[in-house]
Amino acid sequence: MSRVSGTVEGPTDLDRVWGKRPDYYDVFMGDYNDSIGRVDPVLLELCRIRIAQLVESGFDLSLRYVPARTAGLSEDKIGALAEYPESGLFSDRERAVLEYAEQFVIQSSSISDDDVARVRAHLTPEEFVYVTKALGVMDQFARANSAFRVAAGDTAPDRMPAFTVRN
Amino acid sequence: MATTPRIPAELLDNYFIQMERDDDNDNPVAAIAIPVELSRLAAIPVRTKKSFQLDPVLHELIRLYNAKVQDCQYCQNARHAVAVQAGLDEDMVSALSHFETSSLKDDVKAALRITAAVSTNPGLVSDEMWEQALRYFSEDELVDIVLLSMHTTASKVTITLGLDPGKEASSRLFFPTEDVYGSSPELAEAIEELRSRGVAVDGPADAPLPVGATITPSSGVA
Repeated sequence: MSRVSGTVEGPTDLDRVWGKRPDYYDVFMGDYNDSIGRVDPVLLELCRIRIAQLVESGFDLSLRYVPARTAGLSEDKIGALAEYPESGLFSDRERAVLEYAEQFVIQSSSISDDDVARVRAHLTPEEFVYVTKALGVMDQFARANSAFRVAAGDTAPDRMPAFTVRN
Repeated sequence: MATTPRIPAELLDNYFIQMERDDDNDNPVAAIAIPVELSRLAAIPVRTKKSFQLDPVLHELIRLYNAKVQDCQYCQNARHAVAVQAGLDEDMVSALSHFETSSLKDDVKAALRITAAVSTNPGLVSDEMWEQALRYFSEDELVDIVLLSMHTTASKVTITLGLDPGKEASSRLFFPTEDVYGSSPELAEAIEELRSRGVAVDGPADAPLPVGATITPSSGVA
């Protein structure tokens, strides 16, 4: 269970903690789901899990994005994420976006025009906008969950309808 | 100076940093803007019945701490008028970059330690840090401190896309009645409540920053 003890009633640990601010929880999750839904699901899921690794969110690591699974993303590839720069499992596009995601998580203000040019070579202008926004909400979400120590559960929260628990 | 947009100009039509949710606006940049409702629920610019429930000075210090860490020029130069009237001064703001060794109060330091960890490496929010903060804050307040610390990293998207409006766009006091915050029944109620206590809730859009001086704190702004 999370480090927040006086939680509200709810089916998952996420609901119990974030449910302390139910209105914020609703609007944030609405924006989260909209934002991730605009991006190529495999690319999105690789970035989401890499972010969860970097900010140490066990809850986010326990989830899997169903559209990415449907599109063929394997657990082997997810398992190789920490070695993405050298692994042959990743395309140039995936490597470029993962590198961008890591920069975004660690210090976004240090992302240079050259860094942007490198990732934009693999994305349309609109994809670049949508990927960046999706990184924003995934980074925020995983940071809060990590700080709260939100625990992984047996089921995905209702507010995350596109997710399932890793089995 | 504002940063240079890293996206094509045609995507910037109708863009604003915050947007009311609107199904009709399919502009890609508007679609990714921060919903203004989310900022209201984070108590920006003021605490309402539905929002986070933090002291306005602490709230503004957390926001400004993250503005500095994320290097958001626009965010760093804005000051919320209600926080200034509640006692926020520029010495406190200057102390943020070295808060641990500063003369900021112990409760503020305990909160900023959490903010600093959330914005850099949230794995560093230790049990000890949490317990220490519980000496000064209720658990509900700690939840709000984490969520606000997280909320104010939203500027990372704006900055990365090259859409930081720059410090000139925000070198002033912001009042809760301004259009930028939109309208909601809770906001209107909170504004009325502040007004009834003698807090200035609207002012000139070019109200200068109170550098080196504080507006006389009104009594009762908790």
